[in-house]
Amino acid sequence: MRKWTRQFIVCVALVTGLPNAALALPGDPTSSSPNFSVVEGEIGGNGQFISASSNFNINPNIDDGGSSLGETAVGNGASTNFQTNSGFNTTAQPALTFVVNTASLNLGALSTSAKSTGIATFNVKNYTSYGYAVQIVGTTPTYGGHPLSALVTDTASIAGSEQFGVNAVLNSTSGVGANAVQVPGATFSYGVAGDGTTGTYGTTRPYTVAEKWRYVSGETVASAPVSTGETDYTLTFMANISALTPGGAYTGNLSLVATGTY
Amino acid sequence: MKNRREVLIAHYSHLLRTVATKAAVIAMVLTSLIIPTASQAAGQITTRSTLLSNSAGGGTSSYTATFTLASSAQTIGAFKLEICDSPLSTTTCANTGNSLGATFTGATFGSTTCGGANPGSCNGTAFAGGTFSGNNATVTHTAIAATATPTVIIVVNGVTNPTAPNKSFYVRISSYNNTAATTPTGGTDFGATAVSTTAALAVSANVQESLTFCTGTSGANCAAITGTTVNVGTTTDNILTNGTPSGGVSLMYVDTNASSGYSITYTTATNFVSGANTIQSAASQTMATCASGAANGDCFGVNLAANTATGLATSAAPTGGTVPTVNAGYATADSYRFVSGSAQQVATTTGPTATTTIKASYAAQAGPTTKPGAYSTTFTWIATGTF
Repeated sequence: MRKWTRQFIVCVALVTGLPNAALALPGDPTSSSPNFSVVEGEIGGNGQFISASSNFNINPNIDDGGSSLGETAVGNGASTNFQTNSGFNTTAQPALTFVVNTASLNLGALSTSAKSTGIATFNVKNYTSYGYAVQIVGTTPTYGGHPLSALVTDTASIAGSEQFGVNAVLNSTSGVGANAVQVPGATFSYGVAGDGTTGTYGTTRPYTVAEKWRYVSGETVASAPVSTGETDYTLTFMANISALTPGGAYTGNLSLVATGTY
Repeated sequence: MKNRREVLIAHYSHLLRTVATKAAVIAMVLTSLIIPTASQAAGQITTRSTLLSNSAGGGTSSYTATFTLASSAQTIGAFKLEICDSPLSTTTCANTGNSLGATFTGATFGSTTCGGANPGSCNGTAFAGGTFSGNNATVTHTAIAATATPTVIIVVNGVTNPTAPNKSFYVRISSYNNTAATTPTGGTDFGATAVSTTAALAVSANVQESLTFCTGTSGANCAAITGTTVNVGTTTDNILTNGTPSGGVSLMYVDTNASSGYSITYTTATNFVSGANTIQSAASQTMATCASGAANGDCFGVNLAANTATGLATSAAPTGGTVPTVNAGYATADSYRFVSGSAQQVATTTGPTATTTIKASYAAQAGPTTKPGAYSTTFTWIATGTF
């Protein structure tokens, strides 16, 4: 009886300690000292680092007809031919979460003397995959059969020249846009602006050069090479007009298409 | 030393644990025998993806499924694509969740190719069509044996996306031995891809209608242009010579984004007059011809051409931008025309234009009986864009 009592007290102590440990951290549960750190540390078999104490949420994924506890991001190790996702009882089903937060974007009254810009945001999360690519598809804003001229190479803004383009990075000089943000951090998420999977373009790959814009329907504006947690992207649209650009209300529907490879 | 009560508790506790353990073991054995196991595909399709041409919720899209077969040298009779809420082959394909509204009904066969490193005998255009209805599409082929594990690309056009934006759903891919897509149950190979609808991004902007037009006598552009008077006589006294034409030039600059271009007209309230005396107006003719038919042997006119009379050395046809079409009577060198009292069109374009320089030449000559005086008229030049 005394032994049971001791075990019970220890269990109570552990349970009451949870809210102040990993479960209390809503994002990246990192435990660290000056010399060591443990990221994504968990107590128990949950594996959902977003769980919280006051609104504790064990949210099992439906997998193989039953319930299992899964993670929205896992450790990934890969070679040329193989990869493994390590973590708590990870789900086997593929997942792609793709949210475009901006439904419409108005660039306002375009001018021959200064560029107009606007931003749209989206985020992507992809699991058990060999990565993803987000393509932008559609025609540039058009009026009366006249589409704004798309920049087919990464090009700087030229006032007075008809231009339409987009990029996916921070444009510091113009004060618009943002670089990709890894959520909850770079330890878990690996998305990059532009086509980062080819390596062909290095640091000058399309849509990633600050203060330069480009638009070719079907090209990749964001990607990840491996299974990844959430990455938040900001697209900056830029337009200039010339004296010849016909007057009118220009509109265009663009689609962002995310494709995961599993 | 345990008392009787403690001994009994220990005995029955042990007995209960033994019974419970045996019952659990029996239940597990029975469960494994009773619960049916859904048919599973033999192989897991690899390197698989589904590309949507349009991801808008409720939109119509082409679906391009690309994948590599797992089972080597399998007989291929059909490939099946299914749009489902769940990727699991053991779960019935339903469309009550995120994939609600998705359908292959109305879709059409695009293409099917077998290629990659092992194109095999499924290569070619033998995949000529299939059936497209509800949440599944079956692309059929006269059953043949593929070589190794080819990469397959299936394109289906006109698929209706799930209705809601920003929803993840799944496209299941299966291969079958027969064209009915029934054998083997669950497919030879199977794999699922996750895709997502999004909200369409509407990008809009406004371009204001624009027309820039200015007049003067000097200056390189509208910002610098000056002058409001043109002397057509010679010397500082601005004298018209009997029988010899002379003139002067004014400038106009015009640009517009008007989709149907612009027209330029002039109006004058009077002829070229001095009080009650009038110099003959040219009617698409040279100064000499005009003067010869005039009562006083004089003439006045205007054109937009390069002329040779004194004072017209800088005259020229329109240049820059989209050169306008100059109206008859105003386009020929040393030939002039002048009509007062109503708007007279002298030049037009049919589309937008960058800055064009237009020079108007005014020419006159006196005749033997031209009355002395200070002759003049005031031109009002008007540019009208058609947007």
